[in-house]
Amino acid sequence: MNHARSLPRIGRLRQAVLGVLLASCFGASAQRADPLAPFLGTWSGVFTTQEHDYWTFADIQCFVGCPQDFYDRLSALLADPKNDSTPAFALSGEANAASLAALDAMLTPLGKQVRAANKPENDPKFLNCQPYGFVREVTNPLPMRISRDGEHLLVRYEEWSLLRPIYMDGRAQPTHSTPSLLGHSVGRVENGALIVETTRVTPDLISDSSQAGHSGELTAVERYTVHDNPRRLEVTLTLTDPVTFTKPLVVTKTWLYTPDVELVQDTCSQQPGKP
Amino acid sequence: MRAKYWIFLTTGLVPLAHVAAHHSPAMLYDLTKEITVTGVVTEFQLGNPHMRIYFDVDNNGTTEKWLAEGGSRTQLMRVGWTEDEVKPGDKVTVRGHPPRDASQHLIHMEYLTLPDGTEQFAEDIRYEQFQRRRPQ
Repeated sequence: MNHARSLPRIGRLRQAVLGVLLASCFGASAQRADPLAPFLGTWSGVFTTQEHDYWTFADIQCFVGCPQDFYDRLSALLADPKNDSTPAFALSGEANAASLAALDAMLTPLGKQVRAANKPENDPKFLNCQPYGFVREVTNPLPMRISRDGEHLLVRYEEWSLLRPIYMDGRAQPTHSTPSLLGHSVGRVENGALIVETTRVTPDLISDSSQAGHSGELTAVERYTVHDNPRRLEVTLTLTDPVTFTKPLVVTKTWLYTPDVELVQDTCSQQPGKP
Repeated sequence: MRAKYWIFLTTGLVPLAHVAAHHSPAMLYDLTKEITVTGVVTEFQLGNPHMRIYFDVDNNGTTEKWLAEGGSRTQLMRVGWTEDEVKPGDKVTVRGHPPRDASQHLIHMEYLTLPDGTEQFAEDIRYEQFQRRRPQ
């Protein structure tokens, strides 16, 4: 064997291996340096991932998101050994009554009027095939996919197959744009959390269960964080509306990371106006 | 323990409640009770937000108009529903929860027995199994 010829070949091999290692290191650090990377992908709520051990009964009750105080209260009731023989739905009812009372106490007089006037039979989104407004869409129970759109983010909700751009270039909120169903959203990453601020939203309900509403003065801040074991996305959605709330309302919801879930195209097949 | 109710005695036609949107079933239904209703399909919608079956129930010669509300359109499609499961004229049996307002001819459908006799899960989630899932 000609060692004189094989030595340079071993050197080239070492160089190649070193190159691959360096490339993967730089690639990995580039990925770590990308603050949006953790948020990208398909995320699914409890409907689509109900077999997963992570979910508790409180998560089931919050499949469309729920006020933080409800989730915390119900979780505490469920964890209390004194309630072991009490049906979970009864504990949920207890937590829900307390949460609705707390919500009612924080409504402005106009907010109380709006809530009293909101009836499912008067809500066209209840009766007809019409997409939800901002709050119900953001907390809807079906999967969503977060992807890049240039330097911005694009959220595709399976619910109603709606697309929502989140502008990430530091632009200011518009002051004169026409309000819309999902409003205008700008985002940034702070300390690993994706912060999305939304304004210019048309008035709508904040949830079907409370029938409370918000005005066009709504300012919403979503704070998304990614956690592991299991990999999941959590949001706290803070709703501020001086017209209907005396203080901000905080809503929470969780999704699991589900790279294998394909979004299903949603369509309307219901006849308008038919109950 | 589940109570089981068979619907035989209700008389008269009662307007159907308005139901839709993704709401917790506990809002409208008594999840501690179960009823079973058999009737003939007049309309089937694998619609959004929820699947609906409109069906006629013969109550001692009087026809009652019933509505069964099931799971979400895309969620059911994900587990294999195709919108061809039933058609008008089919006889079906619906098993689920009664409304809190007992005057409504409404049922929160968990299981649907198809014309060929097979029973199919028709909701988004098996609520019953989660009653035992408490924080550790």
